Order: sequence, then structure tokens, then C-alpha cells
Amino acid sequence: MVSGLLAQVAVNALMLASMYILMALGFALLLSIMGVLNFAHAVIYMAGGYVCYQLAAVYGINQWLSLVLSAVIVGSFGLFLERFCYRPFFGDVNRTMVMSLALIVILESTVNILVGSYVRSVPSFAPGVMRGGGVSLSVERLVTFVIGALLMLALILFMQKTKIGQQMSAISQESIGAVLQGINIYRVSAVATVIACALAAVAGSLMGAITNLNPFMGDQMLVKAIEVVILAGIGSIGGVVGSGLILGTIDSFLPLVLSGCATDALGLGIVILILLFRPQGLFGHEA
Amino acid sequence: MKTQRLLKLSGIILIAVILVASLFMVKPAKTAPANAKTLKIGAIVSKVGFASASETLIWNGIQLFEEWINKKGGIKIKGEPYSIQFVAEDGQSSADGAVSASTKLVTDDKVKFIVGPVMPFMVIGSGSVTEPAKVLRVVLYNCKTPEEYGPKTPYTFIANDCTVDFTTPDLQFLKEKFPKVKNVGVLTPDDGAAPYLEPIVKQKGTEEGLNILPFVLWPLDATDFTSYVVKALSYKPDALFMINGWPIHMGAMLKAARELGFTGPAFGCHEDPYDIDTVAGPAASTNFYVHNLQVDSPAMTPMIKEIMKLGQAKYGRQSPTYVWAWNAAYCLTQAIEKAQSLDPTVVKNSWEKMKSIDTAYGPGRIGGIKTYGINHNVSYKTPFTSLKDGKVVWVEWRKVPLP
Repeated sequence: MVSGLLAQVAVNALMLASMYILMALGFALLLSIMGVLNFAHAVIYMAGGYVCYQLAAVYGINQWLSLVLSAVIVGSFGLFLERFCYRPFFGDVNRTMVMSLALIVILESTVNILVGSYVRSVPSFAPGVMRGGGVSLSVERLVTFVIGALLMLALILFMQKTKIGQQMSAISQESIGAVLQGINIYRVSAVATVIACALAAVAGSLMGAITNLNPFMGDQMLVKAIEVVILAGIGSIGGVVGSGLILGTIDSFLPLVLSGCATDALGLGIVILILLFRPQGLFGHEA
Repeated sequence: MKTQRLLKLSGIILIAVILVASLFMVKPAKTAPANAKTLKIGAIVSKVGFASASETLIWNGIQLFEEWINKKGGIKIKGEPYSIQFVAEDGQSSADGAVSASTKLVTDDKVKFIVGPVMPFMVIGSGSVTEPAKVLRVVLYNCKTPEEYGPKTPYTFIANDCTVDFTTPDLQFLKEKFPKVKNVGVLTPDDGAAPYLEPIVKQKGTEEGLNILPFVLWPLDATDFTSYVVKALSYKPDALFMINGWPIHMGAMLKAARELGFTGPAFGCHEDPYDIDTVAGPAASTNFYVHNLQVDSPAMTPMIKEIMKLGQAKYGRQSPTYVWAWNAAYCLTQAIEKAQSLDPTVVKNSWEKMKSIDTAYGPGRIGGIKTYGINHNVSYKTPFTSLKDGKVVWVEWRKVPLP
């Protein structure tokens, strides 16, 4: 019985980790390349969910196509975001932070006013449940896990194998040096923002099916994304996987032994404890 | 120069977005009875945060009531007609938000009557402002902990039965329909009420010959409920009670329970079954019971049918949450008319002496003195609705013992 319970917790940890990783990827990318703490990632995630819902549930477009279209539409918004919201303040941490916070208020309020905060849910991408060995797993969570893993892999390959990906890595390591080598930092930043927004849209669409949609759905996930990125270490895209797994395990296991709000508090306490010993994060480098 | 131009352009775009959005906020002027004075009543509804998804419908229900009663001529106090105007303040799904909203309503809007809020921590927060100011509140829901409702809160009324009152009817219903059930698991929010509720629910379970398993608490900001449901299921329950929470929580827990292989009966509290169905999805929405309405059932009262028509016409959808909110406002205006006074103390004294009141759900009674030491509770036959194979299905009206 205990082994069955632990197996279920382990499966939950993997699934939860994939949700956190999916959410954290785009956030980590912008922080790593542009040095922007893009808190607006939360509302872009929410907007992605709503666009997918609108296309799939209202216009009746195939759900998978809606997911792709949502990534494209919200990804395109990334161009606007980079060009008009972040580029004017490039290198100014305080102003970009204020801009990202302003974007949260503007986009949340706009969605709240225009579409209302009624309960909605993106139709399930893959209904059904798999059972075996005393463990249950919903297919849509499995799909989220697989998509998360594939996107992670694709992003790492993109960063390592393509020219623009290597330029991103160069900027994240030493932006002034990269500029001196002739890298167009604005162009690379624009591509990074488009990718980050598209990743957020995919995360929002998938989570909108697993949980539900509301204009404030990104708030809590943003906290998790920040935890994942800080724990991974700034600049470490690959480290997001490791820290996502750690946080997923903490958040799946603690509710079994603790009650309610104590799980959140202890989860954050563990993260702080790890950072006390490794201030640069688990996979980051010393400054 | 280029940066300045970009900044200007960004500013213009932002202002344009705000202006376009503000167009949607403009409301048409409302009709009021000729020569009528206006009675302003406050409403605390969360427009932001996790509760906003359901509390938006609460505000819609209050607005439907406002139009309905004003169309009927408003209320009359000592022969003088009054139109009703509800003023909403944002409770922000938090205790702090409820305090701010109450302060604004009491000090700026100078209201003497308030409808709302809903959740225990918001009710307690709001009460810290309204009780000293002697402003009469009709809260929509609470767990009836002594801090929320009782002799310490003499200006607080509630227009419906709540968790504690529902426990016995729920357990009796469970025994009747599912005689094999012995162990009942409980999931409830970590909102401060659980330590008060757990011994009461366990006692009522013992009285009905059922074993109530240890409560499993979940944080209000939870997005994934799987781990909490795993814990509840580890106690091997035959039935699950999801005491308190919003449809987004109930739906997520129901979905997790079904995904984890639990097929037994599950109970919610007072939440909108249509929204629970939306969140849980059709595959998980089965063998689930809740104290709410199937809005198109012939068993609905004439007033519920009228509210649904009005809601459909104004908002393009029907929701049982309209009725819940409407009912609180309806009970309050009846109590004011009965007292023939706009003084909250006079209304309070009159209301607590009333034996009966009309509710949207049918004839209501006033009680509470026996259980809570204060006669401020409107009670009526409670509706039972189930979710079966992804559909909302009417079950029955069931009597609730007068608290």
C-alpha cells in the first residue's frame, strides 16, 4: 500500500515538474538572454490559454491546431513586447521590471473586462486515464509531460545547433563581448521573446485544459516559475529541468505529510535553504 | 531621439488600449421609480483573484435583483418609495481586500447595509469594519465560526444555510442512497475554519453511524490538487466530502479523484454545478452531489425561473449563482420593508424577531439561536443536484433542520 502510494507520488511529481518546467522555460530564456525579469510571463501564459480556448471552444477549430495557432499568435505578440516594451529600457533592470509589472495589470484587467472572469476550461487535448501497478495517470497530463520534454529538447538543440541559438548563448554569457563580435543583440532578443511567448502560450493552453482558465491563473504559476529559475541558477536553461523536478517532488510529497498552507511555506523554505548553500543556484555559475 | 519616439509610441498604444477597454466599462443609465429616493446598499464582491470567477456571477445576480425590484417600484418605507442602488467594492479574494472594500463602503459611500462577502476570512475581515460601525451585513456564505457569525457579530445575517447546517442532511442523504458507505473522506480549504469544523462534522458523522476520516486541508492558492486528493484517498474513503471552496476547486478535486480511480459518491457544498462540470470535464463529472440548482428543471420555484429568464436576457447565460446572490439582496430588502426603517439597528431588531421570510428558493424560516446563539439565519429547503455523466441532474428539495 505504501509502495503504491509512493509510486503515485513519484508519477505526480514528474507530471507537476513538467508543468513547472513548461512554464519556467520562457521565463528562464528571457532572463538569461535579455536580463529581463519578465513577470508579464504570467499574463502571456494566461493569454495563450484564452486564445486557445477561443479558437477551440468558440470557433470550433481542431484543438491541436488551436494550440499551434495560439503559440503563433501569442509568439507574435512577443515582437511587440520586445520592440516597444523592453527594447527602450534595454539594460535597465528597474524600468524593465516596472514595465513587466505594468503589463500584468494592463493585460489582466483587459482580459477581465473584455471576456470576464467566468469559469472556462480549454477542452481536453487527450481525455482518458491510464492505470497500472496501482498508479493512475491522466493522458492529458502525460501529453503535457511529453510536450514539455520535447520543447525542452528542441530549445536545447536550438541553442546549441543553430546560429541564432549560439548567438543567444553568447549574449547570455557576455552581452558586451557578443555585441563586439557583431551579434545583433536586438534581433536575437526579439527571437528570444517570440520563443518565450510561444512557450508561455503552449503552457497556458495545456494548463487551461488540465485546470481551468481565469485572468489570474498565471499568478501562482509565476511564483513557481521564479522558484524553478532561481533554483536552477540564472543563465542555466538546462538546469530548469533539474530544479523543476526538485520542486515537483517537493510539491507532490509534502501534502502527504503536512497540511494546507504549511506545504507552500515548507516548499519555499527548502528552496531558500538550498540557495543558502548554493547562492548561484544548483546549475548556475559563480558571477 | 529614437528612444523618445519609441517611448511616445508605446505610451500612445497603452493609452489606446486603456481607452478601448474603458468603453466596455460604461454602463447604460438605469430607470428608477419617479420621485423615489435612493437607498444605497453596498456589495462586497471579488473582481480580482481566484474567487472572481464565481463572484462575477454574484455581482450579476445582485444587478438582476436591482433592476427587478426597481421595476416593481422599489421598496416603501413609511409610505415613501425608495429605489435601490447597489454599490460594488472589490473584495479582491482576500481578507485585506474585504477590509478595504468595507471601509470604502462605510466611510466614503456611507452605506448602512451591505450584501457579502463570501469566504470566512473575508467575512471576518469585513466584520472588523462593519460591526463597530453598526452596518448591517447579509453575508452570502460562511463557516459559522464564532468569529464570523454569532453573538460577537450582532449586525451579521446570513441568507442561507451553510456547511455545518448541511452536514446532517448530507450524511442522511448519503446513508439513504449509498447504504454501503461507512468511511467518509473530507477535503477542505486551509482558510482557518477547519479546526472549528472538523470536530462538529465528526460528531455529526458519529450520530449518523458514519466514520469521518481525518480532514485533508488544501491551500487556497493551489492550482494542482492531485497530491491532496492522493492523501485523502490514502485513508480509503467510501465517499468524499469536499467541504467549502469554489467551483474551480471542486472541479479540480473531482477531476483528480476520478483520474486517481475513485468512483464512489462525492459531495460538494453550495457551488455552481455547471461550473464544476466545466472544470472537471464530462468524464469526471459523475456521482457528484451539491446543494444547488438545475436551472431548467420543472422543480424550480417561479422566482428562480424568472431570475433565469432575466439572466439569459441580460447576460446571455443562466446560472444558479444569480439566485444565491439575488436571495441575499431579496431577504435584506424584505427585512428593511418589514422594519419600516433605514436604521440598521431597528432593522436588525425587527429581523431577528421574524419567524418567516420569502426566499427565491421558496418559503424561508429565521433561526440560528439554538445552534449559534443568534437568530440571524435564513433557512429553507435545500436543493440537491447531481452531476451524472457530465450532465447536471435535478435530485430533490430536502428539509434542513432549523439551526
